[in-house]
Amino acid sequence: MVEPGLIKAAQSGDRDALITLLREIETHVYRTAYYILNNEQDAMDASQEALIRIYTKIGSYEEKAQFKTWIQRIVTNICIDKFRRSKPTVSIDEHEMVFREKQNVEDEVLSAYALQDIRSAIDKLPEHHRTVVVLRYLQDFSYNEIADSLDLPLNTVKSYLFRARQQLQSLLHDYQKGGVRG
Amino acid sequence: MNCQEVMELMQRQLDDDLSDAELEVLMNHTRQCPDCAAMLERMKRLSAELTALPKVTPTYSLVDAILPELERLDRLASHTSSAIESDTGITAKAVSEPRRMPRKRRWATWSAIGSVVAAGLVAGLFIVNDPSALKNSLADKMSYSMEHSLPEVEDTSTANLFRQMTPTSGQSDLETKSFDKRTAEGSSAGGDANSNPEAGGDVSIKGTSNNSSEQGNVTGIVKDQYGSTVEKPGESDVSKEDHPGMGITSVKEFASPDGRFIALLEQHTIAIVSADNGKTVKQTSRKNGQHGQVAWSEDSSQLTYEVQLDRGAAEKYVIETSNWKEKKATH
Repeated sequence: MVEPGLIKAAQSGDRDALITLLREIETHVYRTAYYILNNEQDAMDASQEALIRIYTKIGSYEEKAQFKTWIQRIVTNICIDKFRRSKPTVSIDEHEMVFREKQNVEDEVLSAYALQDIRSAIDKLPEHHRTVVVLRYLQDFSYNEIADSLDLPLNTVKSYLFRARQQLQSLLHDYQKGGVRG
Repeated sequence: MNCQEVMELMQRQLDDDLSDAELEVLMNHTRQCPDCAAMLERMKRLSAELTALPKVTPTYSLVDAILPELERLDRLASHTSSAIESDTGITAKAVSEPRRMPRKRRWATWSAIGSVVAAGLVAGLFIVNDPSALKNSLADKMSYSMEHSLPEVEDTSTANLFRQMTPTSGQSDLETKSFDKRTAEGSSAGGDANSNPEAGGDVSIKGTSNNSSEQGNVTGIVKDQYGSTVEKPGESDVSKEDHPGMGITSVKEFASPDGRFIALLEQHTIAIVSADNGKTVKQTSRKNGQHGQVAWSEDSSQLTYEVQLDRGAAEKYVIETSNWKEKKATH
């Protein structure tokens, strides 16, 4: 998404190139922050903080990592810090929740989930699970790219993503059933 | 293959991670198992919904909003790096990055003078105070890893150094003043309308507060704490002109009268750090509402602050420094 030439120029001290680069990535940075923090103002703050950090740390970026995973690493770290500071710790539902609602599937109406429900379900995920989902769906990252961004083993990424999707699925299913009844 | 194992295949299928053979296994299973077939449909639908989440964009240019802060960092960077390189030689490698070089050239006209003064000042401080302690704290600040440090940390640490030391080092007092002046000049020379005249190495990152009278107060208090004599009439007027939406996470500092603690005002919380070692001794619980009116009692035994709630209401809180208990005060 960002020209390698632009990154090189920015690293070699071309301030205009660095500013141009920041402009190119600001939406990507913001989008991640927005879905992790689930709050526009916090997302604005976090992404500005991330952009400032990218500005000051551009010299430490090494080409062996993908640039996009490098910036996502910065913004997710800031968001997770912020998230921890602003929220009481969310207890993580690590135990099995597979096939909790195998029954009743047949009478399920296949209507679209309300956007609000999806957002609120994402908000219920523990921070790392949520972050993995955001990188997978908002940044369109592969397992490997997510692993690089979060400095997690590949298997952990998969297990977070799978568990997160399962939890989302069951939360949304509950919402939907609640909606039908109420 | 049991349903549990099939679940993993379903998950991987959502990410296009299945081989043809694995896909075959999955399809064979779902043909015979209605539960899994239904689950697969639901997971697919979830995945499609997640893919379709709105691609939100910021409501204003974030880069424009941080430009003043970036300029401030540039100025500070040329000060800190040259001061450290010339004086201690420690951790300088960690902070001097390639891109700094052209930056120095850009500001060469005045930063040369400024950094000489800064270097002199730092040198003075090192003599006055216990050098090992200082070096350690400096090294700590500098070696903050990328993942954990705020970008401002390096800079405020320098600011802290200057402020902490000024009262004890009489002979460098004069230098501090001229240093401040140069910084202020530097910022106007930068030609940036949004940067604050007092912003060279001091606190003042402007927040999103609409309460301009409060900001005026803040500026006043901060200047008192610094003991700086760079008086600029109409300075608080300048603060008022700041766009309310332009702020980044605002951090404002309030040193206790006895100099032992610094209260850091963040958006929804206040942290009190020890002026000696920078350790956080108290972090207030997050409260929704604009924090302000931060004030130390004269004997430094209490810190009071207010939280602006909706519809003009405000809550006042008092923190006792003896036990770091926080309680709601009656007005």
